Amino acid sequence: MMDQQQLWARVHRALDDRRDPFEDTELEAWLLEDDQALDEVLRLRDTLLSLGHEVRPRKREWGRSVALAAGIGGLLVGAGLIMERVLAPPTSVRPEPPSVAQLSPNGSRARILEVSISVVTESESARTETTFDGQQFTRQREVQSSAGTGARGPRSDTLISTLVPVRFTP
Amino acid sequence: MTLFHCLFTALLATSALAQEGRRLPDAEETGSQRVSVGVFEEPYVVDVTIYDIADLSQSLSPSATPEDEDPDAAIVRKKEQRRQAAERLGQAVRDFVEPKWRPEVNVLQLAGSSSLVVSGTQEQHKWIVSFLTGIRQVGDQMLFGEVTYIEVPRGHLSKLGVTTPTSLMWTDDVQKLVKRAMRAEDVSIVRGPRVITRPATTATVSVLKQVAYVKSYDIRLIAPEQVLIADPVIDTVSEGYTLLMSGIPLPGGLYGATIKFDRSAIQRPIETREIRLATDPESTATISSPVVTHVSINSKVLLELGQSVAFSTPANDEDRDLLVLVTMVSFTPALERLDALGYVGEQED
Repeated sequence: MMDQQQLWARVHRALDDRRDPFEDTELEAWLLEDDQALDEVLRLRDTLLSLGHEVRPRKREWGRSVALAAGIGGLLVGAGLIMERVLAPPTSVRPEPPSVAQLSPNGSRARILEVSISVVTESESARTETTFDGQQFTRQREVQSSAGTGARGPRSDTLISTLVPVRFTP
Repeated sequence: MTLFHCLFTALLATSALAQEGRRLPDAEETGSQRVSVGVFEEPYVVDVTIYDIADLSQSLSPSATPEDEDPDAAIVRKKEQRRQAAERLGQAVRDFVEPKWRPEVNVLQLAGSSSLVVSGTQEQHKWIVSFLTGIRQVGDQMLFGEVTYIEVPRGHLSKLGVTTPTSLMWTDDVQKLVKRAMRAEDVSIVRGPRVITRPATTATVSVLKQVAYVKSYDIRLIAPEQVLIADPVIDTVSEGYTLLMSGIPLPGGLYGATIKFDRSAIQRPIETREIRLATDPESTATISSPVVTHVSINSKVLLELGQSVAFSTPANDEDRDLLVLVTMVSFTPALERLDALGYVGEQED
């Protein structure tokens, strides 16, 4: 059984070698038992994948002759794949993760289309509402007197103030 | 510019075209109805196109089947699920189409769950064709969404590098920001459970706690002893958060996300006050008056893979600010991995 330190050392070693941690069967079994660690590893791996990092297949510790045969087989398969791509271009049109060169806010096509934020504080005697419509914050406060024996009926004072506009990031 | 002026201008433009020998194509020529709407300064030409979405309504419907379901009930359930899937597609078109949807001119209607009838410009129809093609190619793509919110003393968000009410960040910037917050003082960080959902499906995460308090007392007369008692009136307030999020792939590799975040927090300690009871003028009772702050954020954003959106807002009326970070990550997992994690339901035959 691994402790947390050993587990994370193994995970980081795999990621540093550009290997998928889940290729390690013992590590995978341990992670499936520990939900929190599994979550963390999945998140880490997803982040790396989204940054365009490749994960190479696990290098298996076989004998030299088997490795040589695998290498030759791999070359033949690779040649076959190249020929297949030359003859029949891939049809997948799923968007590729952005490359590192694109990870600049200035080059991003993302934007916020709509936003509205409201903050309402309610108590027995008062209600304050602050809203943001994408351009500026506006604050409105209503005060009510508490009704007691012989007290007046509830009154409402409304104070509306507009705070300094803040820059809205599109 | 008045409406009459606009219509008059449109009429003049139309008659000018006629005088120049050019006529507007009629329905038989284009195969679709072409309408020139002249209520704006420039003519805004729209076409009506019918899109077949029967396959998408089915593929975007949940696939799990309740056990021992009555066949007639199954038909009704599937029909309703397909209708809802078609409505979500229609809403996504309204929310994210480019050029932007104009309710005063554009029209979208559903014909059952199998057809989408859209009145839009040629550019909008090109976008819709690209959008529906992209949805068809989604395959096993899943979306991970998660929310993190950070509460800091008022004015301290700038120390974390947040200076605007809204901002877009890459995931590594989010992680740096969270690490910076963890080292700061008087900061509370809450990380919500991650949700996994298919595209064009709304995921809801709700983490709420109910707190009961004595709001007031009712004086009751107990017969036959003729004794007055003070009966406490109990009320509850909720605190916690609810996140509704849906994402959908769009043309150009972007993802359209609709986010609704609500957070309630009770100010502590809960305010109390003493009241006199009519049962005994000498005795008093304590009632509570909790102060609750509700923060609501509604937003529609376009995100690239690995991006997060951040919203900063006052957390209460006095001394705290709140930063809400919503992240969406898309990936295509191996189904057997999802199955092992318990995320995949039974597949419909």
